[in-house]
Amino acid sequence: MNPMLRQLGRRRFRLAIALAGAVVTLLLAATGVTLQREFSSADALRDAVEQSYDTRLQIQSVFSLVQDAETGQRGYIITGDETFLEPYDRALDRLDAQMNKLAGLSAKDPPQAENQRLLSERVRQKRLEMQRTIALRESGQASAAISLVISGRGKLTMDDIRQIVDRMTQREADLLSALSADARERTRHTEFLVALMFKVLVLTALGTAFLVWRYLATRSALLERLEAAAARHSATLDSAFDAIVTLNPSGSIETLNPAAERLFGWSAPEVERRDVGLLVDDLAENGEGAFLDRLDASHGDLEQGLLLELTGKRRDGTRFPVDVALAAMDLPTGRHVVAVIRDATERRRIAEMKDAFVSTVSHELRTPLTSIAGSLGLVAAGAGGRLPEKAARLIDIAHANSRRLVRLINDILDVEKLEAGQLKMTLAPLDLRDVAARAVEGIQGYADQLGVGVSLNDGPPAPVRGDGDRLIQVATNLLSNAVKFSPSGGEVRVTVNPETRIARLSVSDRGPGIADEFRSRIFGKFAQADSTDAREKGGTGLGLAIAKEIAERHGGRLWFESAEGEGATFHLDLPLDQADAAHDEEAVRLLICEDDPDAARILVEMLSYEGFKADVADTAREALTLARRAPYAAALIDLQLPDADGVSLIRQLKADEATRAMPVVVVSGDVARGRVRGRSLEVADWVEKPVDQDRLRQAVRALFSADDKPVVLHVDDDRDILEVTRQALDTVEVVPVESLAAAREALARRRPDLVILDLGLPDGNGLDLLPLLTEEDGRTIPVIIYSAQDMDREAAPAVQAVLIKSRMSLTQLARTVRRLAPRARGVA
Amino acid sequence: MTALHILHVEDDKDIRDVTAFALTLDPQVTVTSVASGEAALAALDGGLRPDVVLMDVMMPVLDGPAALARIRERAGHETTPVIFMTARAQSSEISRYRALGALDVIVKPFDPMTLVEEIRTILAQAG
Repeated sequence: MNPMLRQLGRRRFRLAIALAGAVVTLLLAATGVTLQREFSSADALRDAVEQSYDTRLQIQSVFSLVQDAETGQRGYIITGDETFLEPYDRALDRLDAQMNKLAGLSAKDPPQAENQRLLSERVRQKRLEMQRTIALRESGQASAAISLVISGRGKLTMDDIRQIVDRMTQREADLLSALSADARERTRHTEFLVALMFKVLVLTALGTAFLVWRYLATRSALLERLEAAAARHSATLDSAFDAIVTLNPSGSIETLNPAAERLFGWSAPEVERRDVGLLVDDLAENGEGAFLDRLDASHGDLEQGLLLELTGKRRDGTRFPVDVALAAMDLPTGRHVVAVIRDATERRRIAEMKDAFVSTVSHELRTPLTSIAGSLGLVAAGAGGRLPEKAARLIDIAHANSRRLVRLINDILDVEKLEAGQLKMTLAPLDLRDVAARAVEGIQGYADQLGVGVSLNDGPPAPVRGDGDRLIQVATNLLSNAVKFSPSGGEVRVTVNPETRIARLSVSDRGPGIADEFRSRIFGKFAQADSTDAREKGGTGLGLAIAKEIAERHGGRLWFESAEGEGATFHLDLPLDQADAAHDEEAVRLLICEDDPDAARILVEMLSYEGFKADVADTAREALTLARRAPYAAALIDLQLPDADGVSLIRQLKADEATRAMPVVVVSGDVARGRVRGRSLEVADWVEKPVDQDRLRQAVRALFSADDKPVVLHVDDDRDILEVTRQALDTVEVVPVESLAAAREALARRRPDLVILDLGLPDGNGLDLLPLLTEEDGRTIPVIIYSAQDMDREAAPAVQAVLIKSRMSLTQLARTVRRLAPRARGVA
Repeated sequence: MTALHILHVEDDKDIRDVTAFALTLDPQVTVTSVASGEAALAALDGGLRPDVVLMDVMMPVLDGPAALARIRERAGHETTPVIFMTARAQSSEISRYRALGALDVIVKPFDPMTLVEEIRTILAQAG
């Protein structure tokens, strides 16, 4: 992934943004709550101030009413003028109400309530005094009333009242100032908090802004880069000479470059999301399965890159050969495929032209050469009559050179084919000793002519896989060089030896050896030690180059050891046929107990032909010793042995814990009588002497096949499918049947480990068999449906796989069987 | 050495002559040379009974394999031995010719001094 993309997707970054968001939100909430509290406390303060003001006003109002009443009373007392009683009455009328109001206002504060009680007492007292004096005056005792006023008692009461009023007013003022101080304190606190929050908010906002800015900057830089990359890629795609098509994992077309549009005649939007079978014929035929399955390719194949020769299909329906290179493109949505497609018409035409040209040249050059070499051969051999010596010498020169020309043409054609990769090698198992023997045989005449002896060692078998003709060509080339450079009377030694991993064919001569300066060029084309040499020995200078190429095409190597003046040894190393070697190691070992050495040898040979190794014991005692020492897969026992009866040997083997499990096949000259004598024995099979190869194979195979290989019942009405399937499934034992009835019979006879089922059968539907596939213990035999029709898998839970014939190759079937069959065997 | 009658089919006159020369080095061999597949068929239709047909592969009109098929169609020639001669001697081609019913293939250019011996060996091996 792009490092910037990674940065954008980094957790820490996202976490920081989220954290900043959370902090800002929390701070805002806290600020809101604080402000709310501040507002409500301000409201409370305002209420308190108002109340305090009201209370003070009320106190003043009560006091002034009392003063008004007193003024009125005094005026009346002194003057007797009743008009003074007017304000007096008015004041007293209102006084009670005002006193009550004051009581209500000061009720909340206990000291003030107490003050209010005292006030109201004094006011009542004052009222009584005033009423008494007024009553005196009304009754005409003016002087008594006046003296009462003058006595100062009224003043005393009034002073008390004034005192109380002052106290109350002071109390209210104190309360108010305490409240204000409180409110101021809280406001300062709020201010501090708000200021702090504001600072934090600003910081957070700045931080967030920075992060967002960085995010956006990274993003835009990344986008620029991506755009540039995309532009580069699309320019590359657009200008590519080859058609480039990308496919999704199921084989739908995703993109088409302009070259592809030109090649197939479709425009990209027309084919996008359509199946690739539209463009490539071979893929349309194989249904619409996953793309790789249709090619029968694996993901591994794709990783290495696949090169295919397929048939393209244009919009107008015309078909043309294409070379297709496939590569994997891993996207989050799965493994997509890039297909680079090239019109192969021209390439194939040129290849065909070249083939034709090479073939023509080969033929046209050889035709006149045939007459020339033939005629010269005849004349040189004296067929045209005896020639004068000088003429004979000239004819010899012409003859030798015509033959050299033939060799040269052959070699040039070989080199050309090797370089074009057209020299077809048919690899088959063969013994390198045979190759050497054939080459020695072929060169003998030439060697005799030059007076050189050729010897071949008698070594152990050297199994290799190779093209016999081509390997003989290599050996012949090495031999002919060796003979050519050997002095007359010298000897060329050929040895073939299997080594650990390779088989080596070596050709040694006692010639002049290979000059130091020639060593590096010896395998080059037209390489010859010196120009005179070529004429003298008649080589083409291509032989070793061809031989080396052939050796390498076999996975082998051609090399030499030489000291100048002491001859040379050329080695051809080929990989030892490992399959064969491995087979040897893994070969099943059998024990043969047979006293007649000839009969024993024949048995050993027959068994080895079947891929078994066998040890021979010629007495019963030896057989027991061998069987106890090493485990054998089975024993073949003759009933007539020199030291004991075969029957008692079998009893001993069956009585011994170590050898009891080993199956025994009796090989006897008189099976009928043997059977009678050995009736009670646990013998796997009886084979009559003289032993017939097929009978022996059947007996021995039966010992292992039943135990080793899972058994697969294959039900299909198409015989060809049964046959090809049987051949494809070489790791299991296939029981082929063609109908439901035959399948039922087979099931009754033997329980398979796996069933391959066709659905449409002549006597019913394959699914009818499913109930029969449940064992007594409730286990079901796994089933693969291999049919032309699809089916609902839900309908049959026992079905392990549904493969559609047209879409699935046999290889896939074999793969599925291998996957399911051993498991079935394991459960069994 | 037994007498051997060879029908030789070859379109190149020089090769025809050289081959005839080489074949008749053996006094027991008689040769009928023709220049085309059609001429070979005509000769057989005319009652010629060769012991072996030695035939070039690449000839105009009727080439070796085609001529071989036509020979096999003729009564009395279902098993007449036919040996091809060719300048094109890939091993795959040789096995193809054998599959078509040719006894063997002799590669051109051939060795004139051993040609008859080679033919006799092929015939002997075929039984």
